[in-house]
Amino acid sequence: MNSKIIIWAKNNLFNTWYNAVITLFLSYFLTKAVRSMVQWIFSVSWVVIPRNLKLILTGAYPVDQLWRIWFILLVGTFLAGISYSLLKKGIRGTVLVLILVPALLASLGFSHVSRMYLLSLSICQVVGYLSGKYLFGGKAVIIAAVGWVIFVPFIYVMVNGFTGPEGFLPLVRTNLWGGLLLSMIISITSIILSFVLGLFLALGRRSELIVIRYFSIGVIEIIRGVPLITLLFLGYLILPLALPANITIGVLLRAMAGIVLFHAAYMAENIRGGFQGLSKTQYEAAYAMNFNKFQSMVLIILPQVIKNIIPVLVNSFTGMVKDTSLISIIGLLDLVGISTAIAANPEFMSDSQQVLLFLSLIYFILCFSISRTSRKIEASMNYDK
Amino acid sequence: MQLTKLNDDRVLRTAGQFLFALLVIFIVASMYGNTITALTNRGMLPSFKFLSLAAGIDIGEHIIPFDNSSSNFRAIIVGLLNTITISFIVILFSTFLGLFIGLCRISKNWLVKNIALAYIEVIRNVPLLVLLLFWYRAVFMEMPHIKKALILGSFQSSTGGKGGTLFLSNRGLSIAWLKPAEGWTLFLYIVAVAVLLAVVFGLYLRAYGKKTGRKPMVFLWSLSLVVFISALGWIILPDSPMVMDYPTLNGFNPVGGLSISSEWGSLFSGLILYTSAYIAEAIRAGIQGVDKGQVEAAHSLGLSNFQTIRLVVLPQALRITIPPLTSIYLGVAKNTSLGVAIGFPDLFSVIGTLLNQTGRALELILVVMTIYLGLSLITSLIMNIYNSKIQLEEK
Repeated sequence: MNSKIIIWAKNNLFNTWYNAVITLFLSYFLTKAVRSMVQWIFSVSWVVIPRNLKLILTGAYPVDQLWRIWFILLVGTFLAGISYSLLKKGIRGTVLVLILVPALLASLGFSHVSRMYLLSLSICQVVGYLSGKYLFGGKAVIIAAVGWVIFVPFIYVMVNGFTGPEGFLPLVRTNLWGGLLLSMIISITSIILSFVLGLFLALGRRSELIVIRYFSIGVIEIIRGVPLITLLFLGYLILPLALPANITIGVLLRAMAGIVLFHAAYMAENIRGGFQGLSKTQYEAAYAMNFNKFQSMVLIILPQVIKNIIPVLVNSFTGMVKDTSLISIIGLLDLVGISTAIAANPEFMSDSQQVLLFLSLIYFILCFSISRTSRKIEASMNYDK
Repeated sequence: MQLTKLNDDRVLRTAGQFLFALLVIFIVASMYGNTITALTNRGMLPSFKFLSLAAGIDIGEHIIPFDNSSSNFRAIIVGLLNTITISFIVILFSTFLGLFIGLCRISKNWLVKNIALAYIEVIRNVPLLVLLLFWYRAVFMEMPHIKKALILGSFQSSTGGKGGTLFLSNRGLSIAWLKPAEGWTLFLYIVAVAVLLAVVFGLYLRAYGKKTGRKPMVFLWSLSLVVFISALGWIILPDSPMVMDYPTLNGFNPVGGLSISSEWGSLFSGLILYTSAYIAEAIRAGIQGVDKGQVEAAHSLGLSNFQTIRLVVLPQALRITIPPLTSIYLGVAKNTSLGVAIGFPDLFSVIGTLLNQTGRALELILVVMTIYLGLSLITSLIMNIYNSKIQLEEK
């Protein structure tokens, strides 16, 4: 065992004299950096995070309605559990981590209610996994697919509510949505809508009809040539003017319009890449089977294209999560917006470093896990072949 | 029968496209109509006359002269120049940093490889906006106040203020910098002559290379010639062409030297970190995309390690790297627009300020989108020319 480590170190750290020098130098600086980092972490007060955790995660969402968010999470983790049972090998470790994280978080000293909810999240995943594996059998695929499709509108209904203040699900206005909740809602909506819009743009770009083709090319290239923030301002300032006078739309929808339009153009290019990656013989085979254009597109081509671009799609989700941060510039209180507001609070004025670090950590965990998932999916798909 | 069917198909297609075009025109026209009505109700019919009016704003950083009596148009130009300058500098620096990190990423040293990997993963999974805010609020704003500025090599200047080689405070950074002096023009002439000589020398080297079949490093040799002659000129000239200009503290602002505001510094640092991580990945993919057999073939032909990299690996890696690099470079110009979040007066911030001042939303957004489109177009044009030069010439 010991000699194995030595051989490994010899091959990977000290294989030449200059590598040995670099290794020694780097280890020295790395230890120093880590040590001063740790010293800093213990020298500052972190009370700003627990005091504002509710704000960072959900913004001004009413406290007595928070159970709705938890409920969404519980349903989501249950669906995730079923989905794990469908995935192939190589993903066990990730699943284990996902199951353990809520349980570990529960041990961090939150309130009793939160701890119970966190524990239930873990349990829900396990129950989902077991029922997917042993209870549903062959139906698990259908249950998971239908579940995920219903899940998104379900999020809206739960978060937004529809009854009066005394009812079962009182209406919560969008200006009360904030923090991670708002960021996630916008990201999820934009990935779905921009995928649909992007699909149409990609099809338009490949169309033989010149009017439609040039229209799609124009839209895609103009959008890709400008920064997201100009589109956000376009939605924020011009969209209310451009709509008929009797229609008013909220800031959230205006921001969403800008983000969706922006990502649709990039999505269209990704989808186009998927089309180009597909062998021409598929079209010919469909033609030989006497399928008409519409049939061959919907039944033969699209399913394969979509399957091929799933990793890219998941990966572009990280871009979307990151880009939603820009809505703070037009004054929405997403993760970044709420953190700015907290740091501007005189009580926490000196804690901006901690808030920003925590913010980066949330984004990192989110995006890193998403991109890891995309790589796992890609690998498991290659494994398929 | 066949003919009528074909005809039908054609008619259908044309009619369909015509309808689609009509629909698009209808939607755009009605949106435009609504906008005009809404603006008329506010008494602000779209017009670009406001561009020539005085802006009445101050812009902290400007390359061309600007004060608050300058026109709105000039303000936009100032913003555009700031965007172009910082994009150019960021592209330059992050390409070198990205190349370095990309090479570290494929190093045989485990520690080097994984530090580079960690850097790339961390940067790519955090939004640029958060990075910028971090640099601005958590680094530059946490610097000491100007009264207690960090000073390196401080001395008492002749005017009575405090001088130094480097001032660091929450206002930004000021460092001693070279300033053109009396011999400057003469020195420029020498450099011009050196460049001319180098070009001639380079042409000769190329012809020599073609004749003998060897491959001399034309660019490197010419460059060393320029450096050599210029250095010689610098030493020989009686008046030094440049002198050190030290920043001094007069009142609250360091004067002289090269000063970098906190906003500029944050945008620069944040963008460089962000961009270089992406460039590193593009470069790593390029180098790893070159078939191993190529390296083995080059070695078996007796090429040295250095020659293998320069003549075999790099040209092929560039071919893979250029397309993603183009989109990264295009992204830089667009990403500078995030300067608005930390108050750096780039094109978009200036537009935002003018928007608040004049209320001319439609016109200003049209202007800013057109300018960004133009910038993207120019950048992709340049990169496409370069790309077509290095791609395989298929015969």
